Amino acid sequence: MAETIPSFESITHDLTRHINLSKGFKIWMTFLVIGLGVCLYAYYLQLKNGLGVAGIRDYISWGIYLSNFVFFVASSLIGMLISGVLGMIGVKWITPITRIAEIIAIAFSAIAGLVIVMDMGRPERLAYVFIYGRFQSPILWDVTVVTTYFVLSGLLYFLTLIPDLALTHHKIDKLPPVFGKAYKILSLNWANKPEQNAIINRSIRILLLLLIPSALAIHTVTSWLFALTLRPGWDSTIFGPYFVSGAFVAGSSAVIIAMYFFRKNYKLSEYLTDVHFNNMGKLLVLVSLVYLYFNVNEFLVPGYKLRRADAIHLQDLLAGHNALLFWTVQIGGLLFPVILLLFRKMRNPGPLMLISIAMLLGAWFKRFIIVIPTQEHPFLPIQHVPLNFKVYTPTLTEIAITFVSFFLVLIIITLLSKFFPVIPIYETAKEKGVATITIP
Amino acid sequence: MDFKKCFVLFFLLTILPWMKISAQTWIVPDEAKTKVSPFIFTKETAEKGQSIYQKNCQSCHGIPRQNNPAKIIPDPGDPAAKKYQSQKDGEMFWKVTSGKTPMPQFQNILSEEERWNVISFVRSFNPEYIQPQPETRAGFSGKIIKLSINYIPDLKKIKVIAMEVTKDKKLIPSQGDKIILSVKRYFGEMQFGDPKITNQSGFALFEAPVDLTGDKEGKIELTARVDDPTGKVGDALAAAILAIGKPNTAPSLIASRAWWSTRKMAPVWVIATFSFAVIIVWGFIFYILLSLRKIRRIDL
Repeated sequence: MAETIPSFESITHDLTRHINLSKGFKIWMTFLVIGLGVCLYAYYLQLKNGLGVAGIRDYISWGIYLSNFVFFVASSLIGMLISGVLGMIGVKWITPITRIAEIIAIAFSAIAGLVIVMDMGRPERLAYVFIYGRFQSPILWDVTVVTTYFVLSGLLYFLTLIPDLALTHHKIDKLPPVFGKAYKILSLNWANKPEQNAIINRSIRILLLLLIPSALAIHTVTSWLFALTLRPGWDSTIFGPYFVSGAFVAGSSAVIIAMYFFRKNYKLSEYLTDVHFNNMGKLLVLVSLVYLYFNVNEFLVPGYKLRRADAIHLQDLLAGHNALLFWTVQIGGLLFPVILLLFRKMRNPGPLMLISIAMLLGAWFKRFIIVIPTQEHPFLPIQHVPLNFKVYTPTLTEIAITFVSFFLVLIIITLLSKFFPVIPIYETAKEKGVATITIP
Repeated sequence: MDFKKCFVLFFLLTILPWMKISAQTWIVPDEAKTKVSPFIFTKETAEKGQSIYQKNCQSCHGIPRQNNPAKIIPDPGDPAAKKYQSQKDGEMFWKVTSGKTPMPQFQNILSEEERWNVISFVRSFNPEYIQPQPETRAGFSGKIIKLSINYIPDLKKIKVIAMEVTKDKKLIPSQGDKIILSVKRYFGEMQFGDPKITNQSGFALFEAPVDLTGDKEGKIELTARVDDPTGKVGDALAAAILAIGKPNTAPSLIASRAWWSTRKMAPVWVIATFSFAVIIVWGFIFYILLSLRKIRRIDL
């Protein structure tokens, strides 16, 4: 099939036309900001009255704040899979998706750190983790790797953006002029000179190399917050890979959902084609099957041996009061979507996006299933406490505070995708074989 | 039939009837029934009692007056209900003190004062309740005893001396008192052998321990008191620190480098690996940040 090479002008035009202050954008941002404001009031209540406003108590002290944290860290890992692993292997079709994956990585890793702060009764003591943190403590490792991964993702995002900023700063006419000037400054005088490209390419290579181990570290360490205890349900040697594989499921779903909305709202169907969705659908099947495999291990092995504490935990999970959530998540959020995705038609943008939403929701509740039920079964019996100490129910305030993180993530994703090209212009032009790249 | 149903059926058929019978026969000794609080119930004592009640009683008995006790058998009942309020203070006190499965025994969990505070709280829900005259010190009819603890090195025995304080403030040996000697451990007090009855001279002799670990100097903390469930003897208590235990020579758990130790005592390889990884990764990050400046300069 002979494909006509589009002109550089048309590519630039297509990929920058969404950069404006449209009415839709203003309405969407207003909604997000108001939502954020309402939920921040809930956080103010928590600051004022203490963590007691949340449903967490002495025994179940890690509630939805912590399961939400695990979810956020998980979703951010996709940047490493797409840009790092697939990019380094040289997979070509990912070019228009890399930046979306990076946006997801930046937004989710930035907020992951904040989610931890939300779980602190005295957030002003955050620095104590660094001042007094023990080198032996996974908590210190966790804050270190989360910070590092965020910086690495941010730098990677920025480096690939430099040529695009240089190529488009004169075209940002629908935004106040200050944006054009900022673009020019941020573009670091890039002029497609070989020395400049050499520096950028070398820096990107270094970043990708660092990104893979740090991404593995960030989620492995998160899993160790649980697995380094002796508690049934957490005391597992495969928690690291179990979390990492689950992270790719959550992240791939998030990327697919973002792709769908960018394609629709920013009119990018020529660049984010059905082929990209089909491929992402296949990738989702692969990572889901790997995750399913780890799930089988995680439940079958202790379920076969049934040590006393594990038996109590599993009985509750598989047939007890957490069973409905457990099976809904495992079947509706993992098994059933994977079967659907095996059919070609289900990997078309529309159905794939809907399936991804189901899987992302499943991924959120899966973290709930991992974090909370274990704490309901401590080794020593729970006694002399009121009922709400034994059974965890998130309060409305707690749920509202959790929504702070969702609003923030959507705001970051919206701003990054709205004010900067969401598909790499320079890379796309090179890939499509554009002969002359005009530098303003 | 699933496991849960089987279990419930088993429970209903075997344990339940037994519990039902035992629940009906909670006999309180007459002596204990007449016991009254040593202090007058006030708003303050009820408030103290409320806090104790919330921590120790509420999970089963629920919030008084709301009739929301735990759904267990036998029914714990609401303490504001008539079934409770028709009992004497002494009966309540005895039941809280001695317990009866599944009701815990609070003798060693709550002090006497705390137990009376709880009763004060429970009584605050009964507007018809009139408190019996408390046994104040002035009207105290029992005997007042002073205890002391001594160590006899030759006999390797611990001697507890009980002296009665007479009305004219004289001290005479008190015979026939049941003395309980206990030693302080990490978690609470450990009773020291069997209780002993004081002899004619007011002495009770306890074998000194030969293998009890004390602190670094081998010191142990002892407490002697008179076993007095009916309250006929005034508060008698004596404490002493004696260097008769084995010195504790075990090294501190955080003295050597270990996972569980302090930050300073982290294993060297952990500090090295962590620092190395952080320095390498952040070194590259700063290197990249610096090379960004170069991109800018190339054009100039």
